[in-house]
Amino acid sequence: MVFTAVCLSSCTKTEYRVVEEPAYIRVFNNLTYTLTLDNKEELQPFFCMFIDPQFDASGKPIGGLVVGDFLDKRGIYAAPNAAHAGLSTSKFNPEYPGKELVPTAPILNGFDLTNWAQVKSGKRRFLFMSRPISNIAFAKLPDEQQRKVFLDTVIDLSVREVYTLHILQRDFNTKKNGLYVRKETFHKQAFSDTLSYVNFYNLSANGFMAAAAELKLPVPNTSSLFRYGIRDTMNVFLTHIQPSTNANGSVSQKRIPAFSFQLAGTVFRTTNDPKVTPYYGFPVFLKSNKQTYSDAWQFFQFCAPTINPATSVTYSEPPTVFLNSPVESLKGRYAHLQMDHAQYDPNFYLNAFFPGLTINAHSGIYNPKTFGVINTIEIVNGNVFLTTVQRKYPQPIY
Amino acid sequence: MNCKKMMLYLFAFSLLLFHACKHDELEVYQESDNYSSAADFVKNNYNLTLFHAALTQTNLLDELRKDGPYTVFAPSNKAFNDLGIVRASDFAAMNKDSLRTMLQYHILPRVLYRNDIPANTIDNKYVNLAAKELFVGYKYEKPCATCNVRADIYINGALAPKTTQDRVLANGVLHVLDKVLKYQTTVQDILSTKKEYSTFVTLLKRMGDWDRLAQPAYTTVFAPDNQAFERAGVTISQIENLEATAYHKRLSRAYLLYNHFFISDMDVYGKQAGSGYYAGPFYRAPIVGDENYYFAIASNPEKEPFIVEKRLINGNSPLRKTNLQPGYRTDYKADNGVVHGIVDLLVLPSEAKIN
Repeated sequence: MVFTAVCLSSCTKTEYRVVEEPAYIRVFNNLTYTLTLDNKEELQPFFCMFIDPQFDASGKPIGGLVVGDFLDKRGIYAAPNAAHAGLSTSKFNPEYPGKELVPTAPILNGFDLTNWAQVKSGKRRFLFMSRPISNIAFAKLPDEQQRKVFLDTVIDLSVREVYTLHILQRDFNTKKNGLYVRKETFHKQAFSDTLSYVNFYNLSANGFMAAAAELKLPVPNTSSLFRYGIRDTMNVFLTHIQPSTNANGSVSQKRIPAFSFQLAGTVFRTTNDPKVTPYYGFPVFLKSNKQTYSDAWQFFQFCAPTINPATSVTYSEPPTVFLNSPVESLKGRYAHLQMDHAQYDPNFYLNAFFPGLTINAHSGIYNPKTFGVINTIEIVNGNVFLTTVQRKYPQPIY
Repeated sequence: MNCKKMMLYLFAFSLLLFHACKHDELEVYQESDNYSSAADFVKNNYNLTLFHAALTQTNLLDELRKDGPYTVFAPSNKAFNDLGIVRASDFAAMNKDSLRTMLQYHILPRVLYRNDIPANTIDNKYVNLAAKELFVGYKYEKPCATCNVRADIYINGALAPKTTQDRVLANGVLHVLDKVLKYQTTVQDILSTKKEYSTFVTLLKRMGDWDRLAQPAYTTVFAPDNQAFERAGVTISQIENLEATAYHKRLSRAYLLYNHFFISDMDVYGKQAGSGYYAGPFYRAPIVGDENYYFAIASNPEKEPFIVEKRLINGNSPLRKTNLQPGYRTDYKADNGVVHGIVDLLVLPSEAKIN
């Protein structure tokens, strides 16, 4: 009898949410401006997102196919794992789906798309409502605060395609904003398992680079060379850095001579041509033949055409970052990025270091094991953002 | 233990259960539903006697007895005293209609608690009984775990202190203000009706900046009064005979910002990046038509307006600085801007002369 009682009480029916004919989306809010007396007429860049919204009689959105509240500015690093699931006590969401409990995308062609949400494909209306920065849910806000439309647009989503959506500033002078929708192709490309890949986008607004330096502030406080923008066409050079520890135990960072100043692509600024740029692949440098772990990291130099960092004596040789002139005087000709897990500090928003372009995970009997991943570096109005996508790896064996 | 004994115990125990069911009438805390109406609250508050007198004078008190709902921004007696109104009879001499409009300007036809306003924002607009928008700002700050909360709301630049906000009424809510709200249709109206700005008005007319102040585009004016010109040794005849083309634009435009803000907005948004009162000011903007010079407001408690020249090596140190007039002479709202009084000139005619 007891057994029957236990059986009965533990019998719950789980309703799985199924999305018919899904498309996979991930939404980033790239607007990092804060309101000051100079730009106070702009709307607060903090959103409640509605997909296919429904309205009440007074024209206020009250629901829809998808409601993603508390959409905050994006973090500088969008990690490849389900980094937001169940960890945070804050409601603020640095991306959609992020912390939202929605059906996420499956593993497609080996790629773990846990950070993409499933939505019904077809023509979808996206409505972004500007809302005050607070912990109060959109529907509980006072009526007048539920009526500030930031963006309202319709996009066509194809079945089982992967999309990255960006809320972007299109024009720095008119403050016009828009939605940039990129149909990703990484899951369709023939990538090697043993290489790591990276591509680059410059999604800065028209007129940002040309604007006066004081108008670009306040961007969040940063030591990044990107803070006043870079030129519309930039060559990217990649240098691999290998740390080594000497007999005294002190670590020195040295570039790998044969893998220095390699042209990793050219980045063109665009806000309205959402074409996937070519991926550049590079090998994962293991510490030794006997190890599965790599502590090598990547140093990117963004140079305006004709500048070659290998022969230029103007700019310090990686990994040195010394600059003999103020950042403003570079006028967007040069900038660098340092991609190193060991030196990256997530407590600083927009700091000089980013996580590395490989990932280390416990997989099988190896802990850690270094894997090549697919990276995207996006430069938006003086900010730099890194997005990493990983494959599905063998389960750890303890 | 035999079965009979057990039954007995059980019976005795069940009696206990019955006993536990018996209870006397519980006294539950009942929330008072006897809130006073806005009219009664104002009447019974010694700090609002002048506001009460004004409402009585204009027959608005009866309206505040109705269901509402209302949000009343009630200026304290001190606020009226600052304007020279010290006793109830002072209202008798005023135009009844304009006094009525002025009072309606302080009342919203809705309930607005402090928490209805988004924290650390400005320019939340609410339409009042005079059919004009009030600009409401809210500064919320708790700098540390043991610090006091700062929760100030500002209505058109007038502070509603935390201690006297959110007074619940039967027909709405009341917040006490430290200033009387001031309003006229255009900035031109404000300046031309105030005798103390007559020299400044002449300057604006001579420099060709007067017409803008009647147009819808926003202008915030930092207006030096006549004494400021006197102190600087600038006479009215000098201004009247001034040739606009012989002077740089900053002579008049140093006081005109093509923007709309109250002094309190700087408290809400805080200072800009930079160290010190002058290098990290509350606000800094190039002077329109004379962009090498900047108008700025220092981030010190006095909020000194000052002027700098960007091209100089010490481009952040003030060429001249002044002070704001007391609170009752700032934050004068118009549909197309705000007027704040200042004490001294920022640019002398001799400094702005084109060589």
